[in-house]
Amino acid sequence: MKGVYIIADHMLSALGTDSAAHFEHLCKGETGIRPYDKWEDLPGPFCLATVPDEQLKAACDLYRIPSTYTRFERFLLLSIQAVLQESGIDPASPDTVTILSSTKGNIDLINPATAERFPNARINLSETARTVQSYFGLLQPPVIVSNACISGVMALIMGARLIRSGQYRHAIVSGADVISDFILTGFESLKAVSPEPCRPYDADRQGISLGEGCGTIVLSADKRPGSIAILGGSISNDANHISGPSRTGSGLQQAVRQALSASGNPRIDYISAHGTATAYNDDMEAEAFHTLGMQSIPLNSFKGYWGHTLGAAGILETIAACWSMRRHKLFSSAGYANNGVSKPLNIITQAQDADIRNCLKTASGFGGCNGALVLQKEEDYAGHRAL
Amino acid sequence: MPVIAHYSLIKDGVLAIDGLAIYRHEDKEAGAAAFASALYKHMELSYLKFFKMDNLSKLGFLAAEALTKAVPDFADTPKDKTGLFLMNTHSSLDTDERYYETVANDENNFPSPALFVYTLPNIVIGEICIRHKITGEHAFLLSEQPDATLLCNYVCNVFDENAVDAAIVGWVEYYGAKRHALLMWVNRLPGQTGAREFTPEAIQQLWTIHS
Repeated sequence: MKGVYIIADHMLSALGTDSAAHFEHLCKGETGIRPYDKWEDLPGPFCLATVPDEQLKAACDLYRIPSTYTRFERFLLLSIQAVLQESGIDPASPDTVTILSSTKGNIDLINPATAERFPNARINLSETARTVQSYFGLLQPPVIVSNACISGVMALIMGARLIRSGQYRHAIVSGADVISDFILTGFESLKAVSPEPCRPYDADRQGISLGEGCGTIVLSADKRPGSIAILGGSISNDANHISGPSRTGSGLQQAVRQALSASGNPRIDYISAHGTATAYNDDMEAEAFHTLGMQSIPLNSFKGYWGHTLGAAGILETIAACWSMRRHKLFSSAGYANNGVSKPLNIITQAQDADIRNCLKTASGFGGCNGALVLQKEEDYAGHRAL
Repeated sequence: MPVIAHYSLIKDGVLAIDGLAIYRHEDKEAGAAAFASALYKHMELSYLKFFKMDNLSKLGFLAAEALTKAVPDFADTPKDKTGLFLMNTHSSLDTDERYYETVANDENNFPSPALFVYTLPNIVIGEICIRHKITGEHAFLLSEQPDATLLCNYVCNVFDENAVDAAIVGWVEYYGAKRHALLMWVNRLPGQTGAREFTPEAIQQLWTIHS
């Protein structure tokens, strides 16, 4: 079995246009979620975590991404370009697979006002695959994972499996979603959107804050100094309800048990959980982690920093967890003050120094899906403190 | 090497198992909803959740219903070791458009939560899992054309990890005139005479015959 390593990453969200900017804001506990009186034609108020237009333009200019692409496509192109520059891998090599994760892709093109400039078919993620293929000269169109809010974690697990089996040497795994009236009205119709910035696991949590962004990771069979390993992962289904989690978290438990077992059952030092700040999701996670005996492991949700970024979430949050591991820092769970879940968890309330060897990343989503991923830092990592 | 033990097909008003038609809808002009209801009656199902599903879920659900009935080892396969790997081109676009009609700026219109929850392609996986209590590995993938190589390689990776003992693998598409489900039961039981090996070529051949 081959090892699989995270050798490059890039983050784009309301908190910034590269990973380093995210790290700075995380250390200070600063959120990118802002109040809006309205969003395009939709009357608010809303709290959203949007990528500011001027920052997006500056990042696109930096990576020479033309403005002829949609917002969603620019997210992907600039983020993939950034990791290619950082890692130096060849995207057009037969040894490289590209995997995209998204829940809704160019869904904003369903609005006739947005769609004017682009052909109808562009709304399909299979067209996005063509766009990314031709931009980077890939041999094959990228693989597309669209599996609700676990898409990002699933894409990473898939990339790790395709490398571990020896089919590829590198995987570029990029996840993105943009805020649109489609998504915003949808979550509003479910009464799932918080009027204030979301507060995962808190007693006063009122629902999610929607975010947008893109996270990209390069996975490799070749270890580099400072790289974090993906030991194993697992996907499960609750088989309970299409739009609500199981009460006991049995599906999440199954995914975590399987992921740990596939990883050789390492001792977990930190959990980067899903934590959407809906009543049901956070309680479900608390039940699952208690049953698993993991309730005292330090845990946070990153949703309080850049909102719920849907298909990007699993990748952005995995990158943030890697920065935690590499920089020996546990970040606070933004928005959390008082325990509000059915069984208490060890929620991180202050950014603090900590040596984290093994990390568990989890995600859950509509359709009853759950994903879990185990990350590991090398034992002699102290030597790379400066990275 | 896993094998394709059985497969179900729903296309052009016909339900077939292992290539043999077991139901043919008489009314060629009838809409998809009428066909789905007729098939539901023909299969003597009693599952009220069916009627609130969107078109993509109904199609996948019926194809899975027919397949699992035809598979002798389905009931004995542990539900946490049963996988579900599906693919299509248009995601949930049929329901996306229906949902978005309820969003349009009209004071009498309210965005429909009942439609919104079906605007993800993996909901069909969720519906099949709920019906059969399947809790195992799954994925919904999108591709312009059925990508037999990717499906085969990835599903074989999951088998090799021993994460599944068997899996439902296939294509479920519902958009415009494209309405097509082809689901394979893939397992590793020894001594199944006549079963084809689960290879990209075998998957491609089934798709070519039935598309």
